[in-house]
Amino acid sequence: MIDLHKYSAIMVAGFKQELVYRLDYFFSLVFRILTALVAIFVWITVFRTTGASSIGGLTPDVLYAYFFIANAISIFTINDTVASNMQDDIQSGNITTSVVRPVKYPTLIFFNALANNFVGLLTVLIPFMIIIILVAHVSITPVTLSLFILEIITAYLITSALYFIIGSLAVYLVNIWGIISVADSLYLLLGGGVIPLILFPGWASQILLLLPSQLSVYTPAATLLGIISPSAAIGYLFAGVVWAVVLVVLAALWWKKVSQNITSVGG
Amino acid sequence: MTSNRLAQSIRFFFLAQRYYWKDFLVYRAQAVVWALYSLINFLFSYVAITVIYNVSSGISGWSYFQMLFLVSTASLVFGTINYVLSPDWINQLMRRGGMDTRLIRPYGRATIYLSAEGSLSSIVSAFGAFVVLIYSAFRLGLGPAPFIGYLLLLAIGTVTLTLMLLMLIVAAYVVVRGSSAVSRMLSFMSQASSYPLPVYGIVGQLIFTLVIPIGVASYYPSELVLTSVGALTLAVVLLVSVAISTVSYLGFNRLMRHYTSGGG
Amino acid sequence: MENYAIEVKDVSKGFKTFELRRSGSFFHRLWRKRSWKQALSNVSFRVKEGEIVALLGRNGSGKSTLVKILSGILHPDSGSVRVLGFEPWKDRIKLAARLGVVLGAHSQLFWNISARDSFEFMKGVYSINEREYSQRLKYYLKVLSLGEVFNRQVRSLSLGEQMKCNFVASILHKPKIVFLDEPTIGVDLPSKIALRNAVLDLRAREGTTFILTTHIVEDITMAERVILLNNGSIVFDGSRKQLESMFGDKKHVELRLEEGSAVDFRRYGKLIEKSGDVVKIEVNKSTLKNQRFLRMLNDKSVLDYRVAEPGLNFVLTKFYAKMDRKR
Repeated sequence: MIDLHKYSAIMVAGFKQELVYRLDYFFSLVFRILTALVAIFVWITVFRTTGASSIGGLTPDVLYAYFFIANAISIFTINDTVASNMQDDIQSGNITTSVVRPVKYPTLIFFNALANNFVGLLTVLIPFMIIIILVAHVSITPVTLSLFILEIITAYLITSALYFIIGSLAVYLVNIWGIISVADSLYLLLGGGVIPLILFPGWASQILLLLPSQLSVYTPAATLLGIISPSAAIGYLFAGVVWAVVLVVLAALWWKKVSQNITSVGG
Repeated sequence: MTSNRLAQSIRFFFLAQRYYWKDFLVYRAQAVVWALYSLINFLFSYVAITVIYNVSSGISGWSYFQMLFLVSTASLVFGTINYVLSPDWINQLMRRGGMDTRLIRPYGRATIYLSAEGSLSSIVSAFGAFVVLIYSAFRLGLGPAPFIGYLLLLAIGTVTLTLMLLMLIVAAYVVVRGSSAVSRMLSFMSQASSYPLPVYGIVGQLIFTLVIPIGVASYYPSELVLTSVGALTLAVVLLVSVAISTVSYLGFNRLMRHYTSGGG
Repeated sequence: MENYAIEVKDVSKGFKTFELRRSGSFFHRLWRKRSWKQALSNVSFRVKEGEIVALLGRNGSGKSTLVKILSGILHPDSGSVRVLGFEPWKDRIKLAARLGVVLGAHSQLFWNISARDSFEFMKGVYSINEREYSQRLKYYLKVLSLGEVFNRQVRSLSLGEQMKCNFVASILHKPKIVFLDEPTIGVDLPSKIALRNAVLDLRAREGTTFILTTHIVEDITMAERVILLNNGSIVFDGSRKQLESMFGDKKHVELRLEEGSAVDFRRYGKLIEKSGDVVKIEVNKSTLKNQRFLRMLNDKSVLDYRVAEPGLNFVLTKFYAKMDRKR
C-alpha cells in the first residue's frame, strides 16, 4: 500500500510536468498526426496511379485507417520520454541525487514517463481512436479489443526498457539527442509506422515481424483492423512478451553496471 | 550585415565546427556509435520509396529514379539543416545557461546560434544523400546545365528554412520553454519534402510553397532539373523565400529581447 | 576628467516565471502559474576605469542578471546602460571584442580536449595575432601556475584548475573590462588566491576594470569597492572598509572558559556561538569600558579571551536581517 502511494505521487508530478508544457506538447502531437497525413496523401496518389483496388492485400480504406491508427498508437508506444528525461538528469547532474533516493531510479523514471504518456493517451490517442473507428466503420470485437490493449501495454514496456538503455548511454556519450531521434525514426520504420510491415518484401517482413518493434505499431493496428487474425495476433503478442521480459532484465543488469559509473562522471 | 561581417561570421562558423569535431572525435567508441546511427539515419528515407515502387507503380509522373532524386534532394537539405540546428540541444543550452557563454563573443546572435553544435551525425546523411543524388542524376542521364539553378534554389531554400526554424526555436523557448513541437515540426517537414508537392493537393501545395516553404528546398529545384518550372512560379518562390528569411531573421533578433537563461 | 567604464542609470529587469500552483482545486493546480519576478529595480551606479568592484548579494538578488545586462546577453526593460561607451544590447559585438566574461557555472572550454586547444580556439574567435597570443599565454600560465596542466584534457582537471583556465581564456584578447560571475564556486583556496593575484596584476599592468559577483565573502578581499544588491535594488555602495565597519559599534568577544565556570557572560551581550569551552558573544563597543565587564574578563575561570571585529560575514548577515525586517 505504501508503495502505491509513492508511485502515484511520482505519476502526479509527471502529470503536472507534462501539462506545464502543454502548448509545446499539444503542437508536437499535432505534428505527429500531420506526419501520418503525409503517408496517407502519398498512398492516395499511389492507389490512383496504380489503379488497383488493393495493394498487398490492403484496400485504400484499410490503409488510410492504418496510418492514422498506427501514428496515434505510436504516440504512446514509441515514446522517448524515458531517454530524454534521463539525458536531462545526467546532463544537469540531478541523477546523482536521484540515485540515492528511496525510490529506485529506474522505477522513478518509468512512472514519471508513464504519467507524461498517460496524458497523451487520454487526450489524444483514445479520442482519436474512437473517431477513426467510427469513420472507417471498423468492426471491433471484445477479442480484438482486449488483444489490442494487451499488445499496447507490452509494447510500452518494451520501448521503456529500450529507451532506458539508450538513455543511460548519456552517461558515456553526454549528448545523445542524435541517437534518440534516430532511435525514434528507426523504431517507427521497423515497427510499421511508415510502411505496414506486410508490404515489405517477403524475407524482410519475416525478419521485421520477429523484432520487438512490430508490437509497437503494426501488430496492434493490424489486430484492430483485422489485417491479421486474432490467432496470429496472439502469436505476435507472445513473442512480444518474451521480448519484454528479455529487455527488462537486460535493462536492469545494464543499469547495475552503469549506476556504478555515475558518481564518477562530472566535476 | 555587411559583407565583411558575413565573411567573419562564416569564418567563425567553420572555426567552431573544427573544434566541435576535434572535441567529439576524442572518444573512438562514441565516434563509432555515431557513425553507425548516421548510416541508419541516411538509409531511412530510401526504404519507404523503394518499398512503394516495389509493390506498386509508384507516383504518377515520377519514375523510381526521379523519386530517388527528389528524396535525396530533400535529405541533402534537411541533413544540412539538422547539422546546423538541433532544436532540443539549443533549447537545453538556453535553459541551462550554456548559451550565455557563447553570447559574449564578438559575432551576431544568429551566427552564434547557427554555430552552436547541431546534430553532428546529420553530416553523414547529407553526404550520403549527395552520393545518391549524383547516382540518380547519372541514371536519369541529366546534363550539368540546369544544376546551376538547382543549386541556387537549394541554397536559398536551405537558408530560408534554417532561419525560419531558428526563429521558431527561440519563439518556442520564450513562450513555452519547450522544444518538442519544433523538433517534431522539423521531422514533419523533412518527411513531407520527400514527396512531390502535388501529392498534397492544391491546398497542400500552396501551404508548402507559401507558408511552410519546404517546396523551395526540394520540389522546385528538382522540378527545375527534371522537367521545368514556370517563370512566374519561380518568381513567387524566390519572393516568398526572401520574405520569410527576412521576417525570420528580424523576428529572431526581436525575440532575443525576451531571452532569459536559467537562474537569476 | 573621469572616464567611466560603466554607467548604469535606472535599470530594471523582470522575468515571467513558470511555476506550478500549490493551492486551489486539483485541476486548477494542474495548470502552470505564470508569475512575474522583478530581478532588478531602478539600479544606478558608475564604475571608473581600473576599479575592482565586488557585486555582493544573496542568491536571487539580481547580480547575475545585472552582469548579463552589462554583457549584452539580456535586454533591460528600462533604463540606460553604457559599458566602455557602448550600449551593450545594441552594440554587443563591438563591446564583446573588449569584454571578457567568466561565468562560474558555465565553462568556455571544450570538455574532451586540452585547455591549450580551447585557448587556440579563443585566438581564432577574437582574431588575436600569434605573437601577442603566445606572449600573453606564457605570462598568464606562469602567473596562475598552469604549467603542464593546460596540456591535459579539461575534464580531468580539478575545479580550481578549470576556473583558472577559464580565466585565461577570457583575458587572452586583452579586454578592457572583465566580469567574473561567481567564479570561485567549489574552488579550492590556493586557486582562489591565484585568481586574486592575477586580477590585481592585470589591473596594475593594463588598467583593466573588474566586476566580481559573488556571495562568498572571502572573494571580496580583492575589491576596494562593494555594491550590495538585495531583491533587485542596491542597498549599499561604498568601500569595503566602510561595509566592514558598518556595525562597528559592535565587537565580538571570544571567551575560553574553565569547565564549570559560573561566569554570567550573557548579561553583557548576545551569545553568538558556543563550541566546547569557547563562547563568542556580541557586545556593544561601550561595554569594553564597563568595569564589571572587565572584572569578568579577569575572573579566574576565564582562561583566555579575545576581542575582534565582527567580520564581513557577520556584517552581511545583520544587514540582510535588517533588510528583511523592513519588508
